[in-house]
Amino acid sequence: MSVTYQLGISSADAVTLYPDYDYFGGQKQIRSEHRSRSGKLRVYKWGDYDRFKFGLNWVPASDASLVNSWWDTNTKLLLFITSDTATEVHSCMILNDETPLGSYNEPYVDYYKGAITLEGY
Amino acid sequence: MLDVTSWFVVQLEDRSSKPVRQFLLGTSDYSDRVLRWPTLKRTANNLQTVKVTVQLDNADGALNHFYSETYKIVQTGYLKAGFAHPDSGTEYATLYTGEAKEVKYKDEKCELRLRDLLHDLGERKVGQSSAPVVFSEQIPSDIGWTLCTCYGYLSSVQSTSNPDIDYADFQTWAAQFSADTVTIAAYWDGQRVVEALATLCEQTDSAVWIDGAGRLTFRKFIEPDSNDLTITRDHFTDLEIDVETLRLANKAFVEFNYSVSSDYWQNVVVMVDSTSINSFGIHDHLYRNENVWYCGSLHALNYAQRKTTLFGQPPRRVNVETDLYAVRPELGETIRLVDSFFGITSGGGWRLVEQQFNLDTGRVDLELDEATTMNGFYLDISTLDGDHVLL
Repeated sequence: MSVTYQLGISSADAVTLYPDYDYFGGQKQIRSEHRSRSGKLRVYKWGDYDRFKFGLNWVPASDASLVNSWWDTNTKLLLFITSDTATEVHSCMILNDETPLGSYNEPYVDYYKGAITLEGY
Repeated sequence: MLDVTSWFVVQLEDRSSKPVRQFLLGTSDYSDRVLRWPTLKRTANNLQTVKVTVQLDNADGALNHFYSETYKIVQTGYLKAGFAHPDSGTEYATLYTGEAKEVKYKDEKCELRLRDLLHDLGERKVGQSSAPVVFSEQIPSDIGWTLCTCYGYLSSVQSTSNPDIDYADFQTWAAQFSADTVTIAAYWDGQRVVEALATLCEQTDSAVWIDGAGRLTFRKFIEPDSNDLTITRDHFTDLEIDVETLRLANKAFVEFNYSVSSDYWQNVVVMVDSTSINSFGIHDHLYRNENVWYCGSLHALNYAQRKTTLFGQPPRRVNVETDLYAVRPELGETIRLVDSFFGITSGGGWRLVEQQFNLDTGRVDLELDEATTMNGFYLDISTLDGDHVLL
């Protein structure tokens, strides 16, 4: 079974990404916790959102340029995760603090590496 | 108590619930744009408008219409909390209703500031120097109604459909004065309605505040109920107790029959709590007001008696930090507190005088005051000259 990851504004312009093994995909909870004096715990879950974080290597310069421009312009994106015939679609934005794909993959200058953080909106 | 279903109560008591929040402005739902949910704070003893600031996301500029078309600011805002029922949809309890009064833009955020009905009452006056408003010997609730409807321009509909005044609570409040045949006189020559109401409530030992639905609510403290909420160490995350001898009053003077033209009170009564004086020394307190005053010695004496009863011993005040479990009680109601270390049992009720609800975290902070509980309805239920302690 193979899994394909594609990121883009739509399926038509999506670029295919190959996450490293440090891939994290899931959700984060917005919650608050109160521990009473007797030790009882109350947890309120107010909501949650999608979060993906993974490293990338050997990204062609053209794809890296697109990803970096989406990060730069705060573009609303879709992440397509296809497993066999089923595709999950997640609405997300790139939330890196700095350019996601900014380093060369030595010894080449037309392949880039970096890490990407995606969060749902 | 907030009017919610039993299913809602079960969710409040659940230790792992999924509450939902809603912010409406007019009929538009801006919940998804809220960056920071506000804290709502209501105080029974301090008649002030509850101001709320809701921070909204405006990264896409979709909220710029408040700036470009300022008339769009003037809308009613609602803050609600609730739970999504699997079958019947989300049940919300309205926790705050207020008018949007200010909008502030900063970076990509838009801050909406709301104020409740008391703000409007702070802009409206009662009488003027050349034409003062004079009430002679009337039941206090009648004066309150006139202040609200004639001078505060609130709805005068005498039914529970009144949108501005909680009519059921008002009737209960009025009935207590009526049962005791308490009458007072009043004189205002330009004070704001909110000041007049504050004075009226101070002189009648009542609480007045704006409830979640945005209605003015009056309450004269009534006796603890068997349905009161009980808070134990399983519910609170912190507890503080203040015992204040500073609030002691064991020799209470009440001046009454104020003469506006001569600017003095023609009569005075005094009530002394000898037991308290023997323990704590003399603590004189003079109660008088030039806008609201009692007309007869009987009512004034009972007011003095109430003060020495409540403040004859150092009243204890408890601050409790808890959570959504305690969001239902309303100001003026009693809560039963249990703490084995301090030897507090559920046998007595503690009056809720301040409630603070953090909509961001679900934390609920309560201030409970014994001074408004201990025999606090002595005059309300017993006969005026009786000595029944009905707690």
